[in-house]
Amino acid sequence: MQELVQAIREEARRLLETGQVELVIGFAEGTLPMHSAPVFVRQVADTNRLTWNSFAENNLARYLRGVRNKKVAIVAKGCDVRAIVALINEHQLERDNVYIIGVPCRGMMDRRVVTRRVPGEVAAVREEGDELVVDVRTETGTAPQVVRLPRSELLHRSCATCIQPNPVIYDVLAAEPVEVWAVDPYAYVREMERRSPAERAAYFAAEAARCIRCYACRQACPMCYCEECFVDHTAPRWIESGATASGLQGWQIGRAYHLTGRCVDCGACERACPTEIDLVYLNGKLRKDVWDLYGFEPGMGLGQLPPLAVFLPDEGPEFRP
Amino acid sequence: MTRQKISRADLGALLAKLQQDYTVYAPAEVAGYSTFRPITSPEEVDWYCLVTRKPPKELFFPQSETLFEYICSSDGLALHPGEGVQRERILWGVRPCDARAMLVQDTVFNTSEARDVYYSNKREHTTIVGIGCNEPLQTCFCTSVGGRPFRHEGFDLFLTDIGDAYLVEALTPKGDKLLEGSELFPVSQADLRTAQAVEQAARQRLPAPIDLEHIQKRLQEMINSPFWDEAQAPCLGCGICTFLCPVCHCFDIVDEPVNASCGLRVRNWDTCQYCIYTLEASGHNPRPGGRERVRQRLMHKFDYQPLRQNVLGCVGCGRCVQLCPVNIDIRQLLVGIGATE
Amino acid sequence: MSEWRPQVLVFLCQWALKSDSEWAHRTELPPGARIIEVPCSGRLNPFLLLSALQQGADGLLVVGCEPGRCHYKEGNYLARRKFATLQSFLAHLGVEQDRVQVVWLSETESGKFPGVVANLINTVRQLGPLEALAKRATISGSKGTGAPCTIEA
Repeated sequence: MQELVQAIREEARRLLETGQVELVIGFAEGTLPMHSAPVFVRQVADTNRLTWNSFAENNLARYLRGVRNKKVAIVAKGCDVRAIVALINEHQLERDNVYIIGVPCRGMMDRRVVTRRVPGEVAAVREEGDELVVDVRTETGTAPQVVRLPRSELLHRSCATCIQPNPVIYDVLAAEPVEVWAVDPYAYVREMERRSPAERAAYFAAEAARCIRCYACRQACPMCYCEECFVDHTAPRWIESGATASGLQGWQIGRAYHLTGRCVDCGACERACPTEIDLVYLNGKLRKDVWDLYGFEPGMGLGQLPPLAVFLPDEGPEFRP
Repeated sequence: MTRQKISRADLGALLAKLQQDYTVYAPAEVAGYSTFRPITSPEEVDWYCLVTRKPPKELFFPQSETLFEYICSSDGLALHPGEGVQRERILWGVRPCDARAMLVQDTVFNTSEARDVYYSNKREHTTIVGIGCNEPLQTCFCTSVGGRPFRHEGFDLFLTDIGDAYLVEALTPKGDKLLEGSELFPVSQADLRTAQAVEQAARQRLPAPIDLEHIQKRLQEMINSPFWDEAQAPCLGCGICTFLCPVCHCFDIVDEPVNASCGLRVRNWDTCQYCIYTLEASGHNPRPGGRERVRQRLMHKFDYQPLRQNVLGCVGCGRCVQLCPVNIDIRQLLVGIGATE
Repeated sequence: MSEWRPQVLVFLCQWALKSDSEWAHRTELPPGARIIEVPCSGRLNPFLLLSALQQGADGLLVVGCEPGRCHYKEGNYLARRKFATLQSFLAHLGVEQDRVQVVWLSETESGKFPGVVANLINTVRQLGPLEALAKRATISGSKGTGAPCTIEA
């Protein structure tokens, strides 16, 4: 990990010194255990703030919005790069404006899972090989209790089923590519498909009921870049504006549907959600459908066309009477 | 206003008894985290949750509230407000920071000059039971902003966990009413010493007070400072910090038509962090970017509210610190502001 | 509480019915079916369908022209992927598979329109009222009688 951090810092330094970029977007140490904070480095002196660990969970491609007429560098893991590719394919970004410091990713850890696995407040963590070593706070004056957890049990859900941990495109790769696991990226969706309609309805209603319409999911998502979101339309108002059941469900359905063929499964939405709504299964359904119906996964290559903006003349469904 | 002692078992029994006459809201598990919700039995209460995921303000200022229904007919326009609280409520297990926040909300919704009937109706019919914080979290900072982990203001009844029992203190007639018929014991000197020790230990885990006057002054002086460019850079512009803040109280009022002749007027939470919050009909937006909005949040809490309402807009609960998806830490910002020239 | 009857909304492309008499007779549908005419099935924003389900529709039918015969050339081609993904997504949310139907009518099939509508109503009658998806607010009646406001047909 230390080599990776050094590689990132050196590249950032080189880019800023030569004036190749104006800005390097990456991660810095957070103020809390298990948090990394997105950082915007413009001065060579600040490149030492750049770091990398298994809590670099935000999708930094989100910050490339509105990058025009300047060049920025971004420290990007597999899913972040998929988002960058998807944005380029949707003409939201020019390839030439982004310098990608690609980071092959072993998966990010979910601090919520860690918190629930230890018998007290987490004072500090450190990564040792395939384990996370957690210092758990005890009474004042006594030494913290130490708990060791296997990394494989702590991964975020999107990371556990990641199909593209290695950056699809990059200008420089900060580390060796990682092994791609043979996983079913739609496992969570298949599980839901096995349930009855009534069970699915109940599950969705229970998840949506916790929504507080903070729009953190939308704001964290690199693909939600509309200047005016459908929830802010008043003529017509598509869904109820408040925290009523139909309003909350309408929001969840609307956002998920607008991501059809666009969601890169980075999981940033689920991580941002303060009430821990299951967004992986929700967005995942449409991801699976787009794969099954059109053989398409977004962000996998430059030049792909958005699947809902195109058609093949003879494809189904037939929709016969 | 004397302190008495109640055993843990009796406290549970008291809660069970109170449920017969009151709807009891307490921190309880929802999908893996704890937050205030109606409980059906005392076993559901999470006694050790210091910071509920959502603040108790939603008991008085719900996220969405129907103000009235409107119906146009040949007889004219009729407005039908909803009914007020139907059953007395207890808000059980509130921490001193959240109670302090409710007092701030009172300065907005419940003053003699301006009484919001929806809010004040709920306030009147709610008894608030507090509990002191024996083990503040790393994200707690009430003491930085003038609070204390065992502060009694804002409560009708206050509990102190001294290990084998609770000290209980009724602070108002509403609080007295809750204790009617309960078996309570006198408090010994040893109990008082334990309580003091518990409070002392709690305070040691909390940070030192910050110079709020200095912060206020600096905020007034640094409107154009480049400090805000860096502070706002990672901000996503979501509503988490404001929605989960026990003090924040902005709202938007909208009409939701049911059909062409009737509908509902609804009040929803709003947040100064949305890019459209200050967007005017002309298209002008006086707070066009994250810089202005992040700055405004700090200024509202640490300058405008003290100026206008004589009260600080932050109680140090730490929810925004815990839940900001990009780790914008208000404590770090305050340190930064204090350190600027 | 009166006995439930299926309510279905039919989004009918204005070009799908070919003969004048079919067009004139389009509103002679079984009770519970209402038509909204659209210039092309491709015009349908999925939110319109969601909105209908949230406002009490137990079933939906979209009737459009056969791909390749769209008056606007590509409207229904583009709509096809939208409807396929939307149907599947709604099923994922608990809306039973056959409640939301899409039918393309070829040039010679427009006479099948009444049958297609009747078929949907039957299907929905058997499935019962739509339970998935929360409904939008209704109004208790003007004197608080609890009777919801309805638009006069």
